[in-house]
Amino acid sequence: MALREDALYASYRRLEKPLFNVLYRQLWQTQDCQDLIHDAYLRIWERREDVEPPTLDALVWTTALNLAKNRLRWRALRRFEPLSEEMGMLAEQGEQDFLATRQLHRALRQLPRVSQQVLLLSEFSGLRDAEIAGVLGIPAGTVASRKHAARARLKELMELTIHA
Amino acid sequence: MHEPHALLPWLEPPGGGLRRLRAAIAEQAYSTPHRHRSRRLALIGAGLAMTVTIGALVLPGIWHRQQQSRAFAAAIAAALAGPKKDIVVADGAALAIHSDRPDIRVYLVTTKAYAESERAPAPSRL
Repeated sequence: MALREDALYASYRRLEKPLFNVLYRQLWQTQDCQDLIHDAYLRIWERREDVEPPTLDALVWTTALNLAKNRLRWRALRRFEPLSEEMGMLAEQGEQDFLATRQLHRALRQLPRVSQQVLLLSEFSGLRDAEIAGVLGIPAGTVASRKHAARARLKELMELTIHA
Repeated sequence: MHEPHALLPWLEPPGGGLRRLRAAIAEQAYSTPHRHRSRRLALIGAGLAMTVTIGALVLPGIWHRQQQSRAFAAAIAAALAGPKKDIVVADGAALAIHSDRPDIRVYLVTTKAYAESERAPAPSRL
């Protein structure tokens, strides 16, 4: 059964915030994150005849994370760094101060990519471990250990930057 | 102190995302049939133009060659039907045959053996 427009919009309403939170901790640019979520949904809509509605959310996650990976690769090729002001969103929303955001940015960048994604997805996506494994294409048995290791490493890195 | 929940607080995405997606999908739905129709028309036009161009280039050549073939066939027919006195040997290699048309010359080329057998008197039996 092909994907219907109302199912796509319902998924957008459901996933916009989790997607934004995961992508923001990778791209650190509000506009890039919003564009990427938009592009992911448009791509899926273009292939709507082949999309099974029950698999829609997982497909959105996979598409958005792939687009983010491409975006980061594009930035790396052009030695692009997000402006420091862009990281002020957390501070603007009163959640963290600017310095803590920069520390978090650095610490997350030091995590292996898959561990970083496992951590972010487990924090924000609401997906179970097996679903996270499916989205990232990794063995289901490794999600819990990666998540645990990533949390410990992030904590360690944050403390290191504070004491540095 | 640094628990992940404290490090990774929830952020609110900027508004207007769903409206933008709806607008993009609505525009796609409107523009796709239009784009398909104009692409189909452009393809048909290009096909017609190509056919006309190829026809204009190739047809005169074909027509000209057909005319030449007809003239040549007519000249040969006239030569073969013509009187023997019109047949002359040119350069000892070919027979220039009578042609009805001044712009066409007809030569009959034969092997040497055939030409000599034609020229030599038939041996008489005694």
